[in-house]
Amino acid sequence: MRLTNGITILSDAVLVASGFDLFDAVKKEEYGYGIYDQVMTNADLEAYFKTGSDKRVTNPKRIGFVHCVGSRDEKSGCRSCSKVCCATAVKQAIEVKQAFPDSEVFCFYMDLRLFGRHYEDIYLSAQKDHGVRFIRGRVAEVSENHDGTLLVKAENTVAGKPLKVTLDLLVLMSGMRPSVPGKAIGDLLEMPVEEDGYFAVRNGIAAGQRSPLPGVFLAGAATGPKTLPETLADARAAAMEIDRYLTEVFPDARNYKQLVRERW
Amino acid sequence: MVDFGFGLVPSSRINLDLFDREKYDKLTAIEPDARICISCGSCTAVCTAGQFAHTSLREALDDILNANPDKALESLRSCQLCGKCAMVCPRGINTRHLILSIIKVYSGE
Amino acid sequence: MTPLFQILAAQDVAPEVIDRIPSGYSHFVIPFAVGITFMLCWLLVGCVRLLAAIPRHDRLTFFKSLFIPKTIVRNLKDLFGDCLLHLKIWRRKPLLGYMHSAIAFGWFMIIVLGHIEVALFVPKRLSVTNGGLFYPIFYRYFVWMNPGHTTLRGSFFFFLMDFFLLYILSGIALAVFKRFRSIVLGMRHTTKPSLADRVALYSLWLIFPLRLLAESFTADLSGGSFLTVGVNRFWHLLFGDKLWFTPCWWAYSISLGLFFVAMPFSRYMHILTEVLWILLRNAGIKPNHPRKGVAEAEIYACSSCGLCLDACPMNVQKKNLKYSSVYFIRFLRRHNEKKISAIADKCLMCDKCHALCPVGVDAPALRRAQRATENNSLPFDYSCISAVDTGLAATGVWAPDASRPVRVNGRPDALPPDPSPQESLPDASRPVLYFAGCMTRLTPRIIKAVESVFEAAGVDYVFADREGGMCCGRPLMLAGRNDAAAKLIEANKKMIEESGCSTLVLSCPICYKIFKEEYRLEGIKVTHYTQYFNELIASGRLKVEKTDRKLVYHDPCELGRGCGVYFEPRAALGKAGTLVKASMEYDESICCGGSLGSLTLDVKDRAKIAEASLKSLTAGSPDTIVTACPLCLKTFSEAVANSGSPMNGVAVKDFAEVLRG
Repeated sequence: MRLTNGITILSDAVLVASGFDLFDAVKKEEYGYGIYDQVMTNADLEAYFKTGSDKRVTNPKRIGFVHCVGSRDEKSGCRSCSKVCCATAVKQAIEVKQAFPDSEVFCFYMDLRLFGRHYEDIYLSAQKDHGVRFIRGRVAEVSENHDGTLLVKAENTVAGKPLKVTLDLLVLMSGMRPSVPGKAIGDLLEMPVEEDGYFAVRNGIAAGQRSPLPGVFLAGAATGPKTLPETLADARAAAMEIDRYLTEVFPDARNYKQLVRERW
Repeated sequence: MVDFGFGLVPSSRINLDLFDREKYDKLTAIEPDARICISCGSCTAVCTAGQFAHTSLREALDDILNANPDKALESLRSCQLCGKCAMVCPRGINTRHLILSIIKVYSGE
Repeated sequence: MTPLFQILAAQDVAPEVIDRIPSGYSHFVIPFAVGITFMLCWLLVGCVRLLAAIPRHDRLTFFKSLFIPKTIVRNLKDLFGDCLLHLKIWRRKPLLGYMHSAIAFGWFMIIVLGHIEVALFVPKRLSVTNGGLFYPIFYRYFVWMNPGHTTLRGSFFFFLMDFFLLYILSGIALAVFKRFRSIVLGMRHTTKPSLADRVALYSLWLIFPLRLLAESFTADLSGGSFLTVGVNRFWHLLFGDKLWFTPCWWAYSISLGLFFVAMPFSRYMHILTEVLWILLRNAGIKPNHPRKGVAEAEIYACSSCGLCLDACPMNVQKKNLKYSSVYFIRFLRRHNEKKISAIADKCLMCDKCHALCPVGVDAPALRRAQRATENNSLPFDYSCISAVDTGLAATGVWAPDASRPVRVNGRPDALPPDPSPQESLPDASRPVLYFAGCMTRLTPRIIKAVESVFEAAGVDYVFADREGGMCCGRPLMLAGRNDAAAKLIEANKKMIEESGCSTLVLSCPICYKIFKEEYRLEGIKVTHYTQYFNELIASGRLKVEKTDRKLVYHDPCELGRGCGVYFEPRAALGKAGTLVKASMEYDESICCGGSLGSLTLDVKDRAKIAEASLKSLTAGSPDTIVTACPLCLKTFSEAVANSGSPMNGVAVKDFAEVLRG
């Protein structure tokens, strides 16, 4: 293996943990990211929380969160759910509400998918403590008013009526896409990729850390959208697997091929 | 038996027993996309005709499954087939053909 | 110098040609005579039925058109160019053009020359009662050349006849070759022939070799030139002095007879019916039914040549071949209702098959007519629209004030009353109306860029549907819902006319086509923004900065083939960067796959088409793909984004965006 700094390493096992790319929200043109001034992504907002400065965030009164941007969307070439955006949106909605207590926050969702321990509590807290409004309906069209505010159109599918709302800030919850640099590494190793663009795992989901190629292991979002705890668990599992591989399968050089056949 | 008269009250409840399976199968045969709607409401949100009169493909599909095809037809009668709904549908439903097919299948007789 | 024809005429002294068979008849002509009589009767009945099925006023227009000098010239030009010489095919695929013209024009010339020969040498045989039906065809069988008296005139015809026979034979050889390796002639896919097609095809292949055989066998009696005489010598070498030639003439006649009997049921009927179609087409008569009247002429004018197979963008996938226009027309001919309907619904209406058809068969129009038979009568209710549009002029929504949002959607509550009465405005100060259309609302960068161009050029414009408007009606028409479309046209037309604008600028080609063709807006110039901005640049009102970007322009179907706008967008873009070529452009441009035309094509198939179209566009390795249609823009943007690696970083931009740098 040759690293970019010129160092060559001979290795017996490789762990591919190439992660994910954030969906480029420019591609969902109807949301106007990169076209309208007051549209940002979840990553932009997170950066704002960190640095405290973003020219789009100037004491907004009405903020909208759009779930599933680039996820669960055939048009964006991604059918799957990105898993983390719902929790992130609810978390960020609370944070926005804390930063601007007199603001109104709307979350436009198709389905709320916050499962696992404590996530429901965050949802509950967003409703109860922070008054975040959840509207079941996907935002479908955004236009800009003369004063730079945004006119957002969706359907309130629970009420069964189309709705429009004027917002000062729109946050797009960009989803996870397979990593493009990761794909380049995969191409070098000739690693098989599934239709969704993520690396294929040997035996479907059961042997989560092994790729179909002997000696190549996978962890984290290289094999699909993962939450942080899942990624951590993946990492530990991969370390264990690799250790087992290096101690049990690999050292027996004579029977290596047979062992790999039997045990990989 | 005592008749309490409840049976005479037209129920506002959805009665799935009235669902017309045959017609629905006919619809899905000519446009299989009828099955894959996730009711996100994008179609209704962008609808050109929806600015003038109640128009909703999402609701029409719902009404069909809820055994109320007449209401479904009502939700589509103003449709201008402009195709915006097809552009925004996250499932890539062939909305224009679906609309035409619903009207064809359910407004017959 | 004496002109050639005088030399030819002066030669007429000695009996050059002698009637070898005085009766002018032999039994072998029967197969041919029966075949051609059957075919001609069938054709005559068909023509009468067809013309009877055309609406009265169309029929009158048709007959009148036959006497208008301009149409006559056009008819003659088209009949020679399209039916005989196949110039349209020549231009695209020379070898294929040669093949088609060799068979068509060569055969035509042989028939004409044969008749001239008879007229010159044995004129009495031209009358129908004297065997005029078959005599000129089998002329060489019936005559005997007076040896030693062959004149220059005779040799001239001998030469021409042999020349054209050779010409045809070369065409036939190519046709046979094409059956096996069509790609050499520039065709990836060829039509699957039906049974009658096969019968006619094989007899057609046989006709001319048999003719050569028959004429060469009799060449020492009836004369010939380099080809027939040469072959004749060979026969003598092979079979000795006495040649038994009757079987050859029988075979020739049978192959002709077989061909003519099969002709009405095969694709070869086009040879004669396309004449009628070209006359009808040039008279400007449009089909209003997918099967009857003019449509029938179109259906029978289709030669099943299969050029539409490669043209069709759907055919990047082999499974979609069956939806091509050639099969649509074949099933229309056979009244196969179920298949007709499925094929009609699948089409993208990109119009490429129509643009490239050698005889201009408008299959997309037939498909629309077919859709109309099913969809036009479906119920609709646009009462809400007529309720909306009344009184809009009075509320002043169409005020020439660019700074204020303008509403058309019947919510006048937010509108301040407009003090300036429109009628009093002189023409020059009448504003420009910009109508974005439904689709464009989902591609906001077009709206932004267009507004920015208007502002940069100082155009006094009104954004008609800033807050939403009605659909133009074109999508309804594409779906065959003409009555519903008429309602929208009526409502939109009223609003635009009441606006008092001088120019209507459209950024969506779909809108542009219908506004231009169906709206008939009196005194209002309807223009696409590519045309309008190009004018602005030409007049110096809009300054465009030339950059070193490599641009490739995609012709949207409705704008290019649909409205013939090819030049203006390229002229304007040439000022903003360097234009590179796509592998297929102008009327060959490949639909982006997003077309509203198709009713049933699914997302995956559309993506494949987009892929093929992108491949053509990126052939000249441009860094920006420019298009002038919201649908193309969205489709290409998504296709580039979804292609995994972002296609060597190629950007997809709108025409107006590129003009703004």
